[in-house]
Amino acid sequence: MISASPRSGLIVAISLFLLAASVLPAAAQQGSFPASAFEHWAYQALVLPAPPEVENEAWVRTPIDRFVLKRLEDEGIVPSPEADRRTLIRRVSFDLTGLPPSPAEIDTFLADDSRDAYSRLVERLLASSRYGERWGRHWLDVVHYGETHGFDKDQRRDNAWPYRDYVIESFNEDKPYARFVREQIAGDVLYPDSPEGVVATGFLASGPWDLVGQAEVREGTVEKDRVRVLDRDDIVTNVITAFMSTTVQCARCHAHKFDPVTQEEYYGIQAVFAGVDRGDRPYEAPEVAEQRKALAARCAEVEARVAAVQQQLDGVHTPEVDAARADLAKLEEDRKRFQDPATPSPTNGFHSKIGFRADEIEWVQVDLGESLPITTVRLFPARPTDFKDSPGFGFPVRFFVSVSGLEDFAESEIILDARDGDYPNPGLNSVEIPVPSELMARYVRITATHLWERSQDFVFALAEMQVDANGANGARGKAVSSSSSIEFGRWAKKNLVDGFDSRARVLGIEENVDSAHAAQVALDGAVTAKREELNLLLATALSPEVLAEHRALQVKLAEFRGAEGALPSPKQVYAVKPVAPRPVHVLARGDVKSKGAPANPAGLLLAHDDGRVFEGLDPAQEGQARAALARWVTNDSNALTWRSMANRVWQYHFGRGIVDTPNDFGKMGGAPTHPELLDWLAVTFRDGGGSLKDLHRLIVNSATYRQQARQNPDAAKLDADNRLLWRMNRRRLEAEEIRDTILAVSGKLDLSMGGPSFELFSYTHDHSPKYDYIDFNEPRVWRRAVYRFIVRSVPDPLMESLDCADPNMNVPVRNETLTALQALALLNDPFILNQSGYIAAGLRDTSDALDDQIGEAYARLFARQPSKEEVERLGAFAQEHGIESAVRLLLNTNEFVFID
Amino acid sequence: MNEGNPLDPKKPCTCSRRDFLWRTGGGLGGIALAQLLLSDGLLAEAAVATDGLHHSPKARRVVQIFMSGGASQVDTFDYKPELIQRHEQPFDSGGEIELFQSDPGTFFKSPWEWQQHGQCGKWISGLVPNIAQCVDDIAFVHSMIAKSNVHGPATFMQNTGFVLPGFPSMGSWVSYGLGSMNQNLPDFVVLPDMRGFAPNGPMNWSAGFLPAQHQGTMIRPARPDPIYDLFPPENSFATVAAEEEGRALLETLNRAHAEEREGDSRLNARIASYEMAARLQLSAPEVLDLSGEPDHIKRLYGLDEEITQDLGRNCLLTRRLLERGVRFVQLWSGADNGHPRRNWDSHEDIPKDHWDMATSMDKPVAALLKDLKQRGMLDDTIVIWTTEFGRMPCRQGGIGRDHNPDGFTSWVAGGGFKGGVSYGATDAFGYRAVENPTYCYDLHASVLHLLGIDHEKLTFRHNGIDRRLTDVHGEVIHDILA
Repeated sequence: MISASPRSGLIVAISLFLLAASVLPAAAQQGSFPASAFEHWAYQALVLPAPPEVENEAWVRTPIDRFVLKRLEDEGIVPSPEADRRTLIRRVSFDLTGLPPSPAEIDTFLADDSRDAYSRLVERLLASSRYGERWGRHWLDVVHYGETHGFDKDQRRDNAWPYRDYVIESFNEDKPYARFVREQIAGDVLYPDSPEGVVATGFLASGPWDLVGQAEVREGTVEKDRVRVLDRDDIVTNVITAFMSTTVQCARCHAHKFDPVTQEEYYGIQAVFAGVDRGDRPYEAPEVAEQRKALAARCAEVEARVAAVQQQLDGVHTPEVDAARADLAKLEEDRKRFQDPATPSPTNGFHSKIGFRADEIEWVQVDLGESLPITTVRLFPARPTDFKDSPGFGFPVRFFVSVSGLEDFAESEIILDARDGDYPNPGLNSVEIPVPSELMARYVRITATHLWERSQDFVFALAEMQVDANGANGARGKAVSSSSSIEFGRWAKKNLVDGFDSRARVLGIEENVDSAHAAQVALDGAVTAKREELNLLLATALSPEVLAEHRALQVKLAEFRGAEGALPSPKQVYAVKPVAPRPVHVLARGDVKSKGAPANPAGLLLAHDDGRVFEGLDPAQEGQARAALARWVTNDSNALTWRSMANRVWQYHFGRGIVDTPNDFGKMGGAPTHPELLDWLAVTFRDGGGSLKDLHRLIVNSATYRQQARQNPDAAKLDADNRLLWRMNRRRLEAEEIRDTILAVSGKLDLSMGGPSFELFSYTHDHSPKYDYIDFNEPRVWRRAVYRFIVRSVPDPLMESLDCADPNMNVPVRNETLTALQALALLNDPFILNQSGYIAAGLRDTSDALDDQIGEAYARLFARQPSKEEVERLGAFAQEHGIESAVRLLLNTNEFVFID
Repeated sequence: MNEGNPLDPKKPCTCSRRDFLWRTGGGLGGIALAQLLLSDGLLAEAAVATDGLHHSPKARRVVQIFMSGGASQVDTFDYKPELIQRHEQPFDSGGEIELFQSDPGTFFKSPWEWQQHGQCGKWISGLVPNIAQCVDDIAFVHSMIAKSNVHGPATFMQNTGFVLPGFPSMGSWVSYGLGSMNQNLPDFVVLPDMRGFAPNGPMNWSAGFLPAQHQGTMIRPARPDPIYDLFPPENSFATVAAEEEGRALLETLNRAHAEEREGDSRLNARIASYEMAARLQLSAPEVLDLSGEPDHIKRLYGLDEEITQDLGRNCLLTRRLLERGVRFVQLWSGADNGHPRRNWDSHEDIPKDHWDMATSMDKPVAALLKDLKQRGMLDDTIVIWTTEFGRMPCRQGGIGRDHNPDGFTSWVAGGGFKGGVSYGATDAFGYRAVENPTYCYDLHASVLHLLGIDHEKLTFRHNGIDRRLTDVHGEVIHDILA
């Protein structure tokens, strides 16, 4: 037996475990693993092995070939000859860019006689932006990237895509791997000046998220604890699986059964993420951030000067000034009491349904019963008593107020328009909207265009509305209607006009025409007058310059604040939302009701000890532990990190990793077929600055990679599975490659990069949104598949049949199935038929002769010319059924979907 | 990646055979498919010595009927006289209580009257009068409990054994373990509620990390395309003649391609997948066409009444699928948790919303049991009736009930289960399972057992763990086996 057999290893591991468990159950429980547990190959320090001497020196192109050839020579296997040039360009183009070479590119390559023609081809492909789109998608598989939450009520994440773009850009710019890793774990903490730092943490938020558990289950319940533990488990699994190929998550309920990971260590990693929530987080371009920072600094400077002047003003003490100050304070106090605090409110007010997007439109309107001459509309913000105290609760960020004579507002007049900028939340104050020239209207409506964020969701709420007309509050007790209303507890539509805000009674003008209202008007006047009086007194006490400066500074401040407000609003990315770290405990059997000792953030003993204990952490500071973990993971001594990525890259090139379980380097995982080669790659990768493109160069330029994929019966007898790589592995194109290639060949592929994803479904918003896949057959959806919107609960039928990654789990290796449903999808999906038509049209453009059209189709799809026989067969078929039918057929051939 | 016979992980297969079968499906125990391929000469060298099952099976097929949203045990099958006596008294569970979205109201007896039925004398509520006629064929499990009080995770649990997404559903495991019994239809078919998907959507019948051919194939009979991409869209160049000639030419091209590339079984497997696709195109329309069913059968399933006709059609279709060798059918009663209510999640109005759901389900499901029985198919067909959790015996708001994961009822019938028995029990009010509390693991283990599978030996290696439908749990419930 040549190859390491994970199966026999497994049996040994199981029996050893059973033996150990029966003899030493207590020891295993406590996690005092025997020293031998740490002797596993994957945990050993990295040492650069010397590439071995080989007999057939002439075969060697890169040092990789020495390791591969040595094993083959030891077994007496002769490697396969180099593949022909057409095969090579098709292979390496798909491999590096996910797209086929064009006929022109093939011709250029075939005509290039220079010795370095192939390596220059490789350089061209690596320099193409298509490279990042192809290899970024591999990474998105590993991190289970999706654009909805999953579970029940599978809501959209419309701001997930910046992370996807970040990944693609990182691959394209060949970002040093250590930096790539650190940014994804703690970019917001480690690189606060770079917007990428925030966007990269989309990694931690990329997986499924239980919206109902997170948003609807009540705080302080066992269920809430459970939801949070499982949420952190997803994050921990993502981090340690993706970067270190270790199944740490097996230690959630008990010590890991096969690898030396204790429960304390597992919950230690959970504790790193104790203050990580997921949600939309603002970020912005460096230039804008720079400007914002500069303006903030100038505001602070002016504010300091204002404060200094104020101090001067406050330092003035004359009997008159002090008396005026005291009077002013009392007047302001009186004015505050305008609202009668003695009568507690029985209601909160009006509350829209809970939405999941800020930009949903919600409105509420009152019917005055008849057309009235409106002078003022007054809005009282909510401040619910059965929610944490939040003055200004639910007050829309952007909105407008309009009046109309018609219930449906078919014609209306806007009396306050706060749609274009964020309206400052009025908090405890009411908002008074004067209506300039007594408008006649029967309906008054407030329309929220940007909702208030509650907790990961969005609402519109208002405690009370008054409409002054004919000297009375015309709204009191009138009919209220709205786009939605929760009608629950202290919330109801009718409470908008019940005479109470959320806390107290509010008087209408008719109730205080003589007393309260007049008193308020008088108070307002008195306050203003008193303030002017005080200013006058101060002016005489101080130099007029001081007061002038005070005014000038105020003007300046307003100017800077205006400039700040005029900056483009920050963009949003679905990423880490830091909160105060929650306590994390070691949980016996993983049960939240069996809390053990508090867990401390730390690295894993099995990897390396260099910085494993995170020292000097302030437990109250979210982010410090993440930064420490990021540094520990990317430490040069962390052999798992470097081996893991070297192995992943190898696996994507050859279809199987040197370790064939890329997410599990533990005892239950596969053993490396070429351990020295893996270490050589890992060290070379690490010490070469973590350049993935250098790693690709070493691999795709090697003789090993350039071999034919054909069978060799002699070699197959010794190594049927080709574990030793005596030939190249043939592979089936992946879902994205098939879709992208069809679009490329039809000439419809839109290569614009980045931005919001295109959607292949019709969408109906609801508590449980509906995603219904249909073929739109329009340019909007003809971008590369890496930019498609990925729904967790309802997969795209065509892509799913082609084994696209399931965003619900970390996918290290795509399945490669060949099913009847896949055959039906490739035959009958409307996308295939529509594109067959476009491809056929393109072929007709090249020539009127059917034979030429078939030749061109072969060149575009298979990178070769058809044989005479093939032209005859296809020609006869196309003659009868159209070139469209012939194209559809070719898209279904093995030659199209398999790469030699 | 899988490494061997799923029914015997210790027995490695040779690589080429393993690769071949793994990719082409039917499960490694897929005797029928293996024979089919043998007949094509594709497996001539491979001695297809599947050692068969772990033990002799009682059942060969499974129907899983899922009440999405949480069906109330105290309004259907779990009779509690004390709940009736304590009606309107303050709810006292004798311990700490944590509800999903409300504080407990008073005890709330079922709005429906209870009666004894069958030889076994089982008390059943008037909400499900037709299923009541079948009690002598049913084994009730009254002590079901769930690990989550939230629809999404709890629905995952009943389907996959895990509260997190990404795991294979029970139907996928059965397909993977037993393979196909027919050459024309998928092993695992899913019939969603016409009104939409239950919480988690199609992920409820995902193959998870198992190869894709084991995922549930969705059939939606009311749509113009009941199976995605079964036929080309109309008005295209794909004419009938082009289809037939094209299929032949495709095979010619693929065979020529494969001849130059010896030793790669995938190439032939892919050719075979197109043959299977063609058979599916022939057999699916036939199975979906109910016009040949006699009127008394249509009436039995309630096809003549508006409220029962959707699930009735799906139940009748289920019987036809089973007759034609489909291994596992999953039927859904109930869609998502939206308003107005379209599933069993009756927080607001039990008398109305549970009546609607139960009435649409009762007659069709009873018809399926009766019809399978009269055809002798119930002997080797397991019928599972289940839900993600139950509901509280106390009021929520006025006349609603909140979630209850601490005690609810599932039932099983046929395929080697005893009839007319009840297993486990909740407390005096139907609130908390107190006798033989049972997670889905035990039910899943029991079903696999009757199919001839030891649930601890049906495994698949994924990300370093040998995964099972029953996680690290599960005991066969021998008390309810015949």
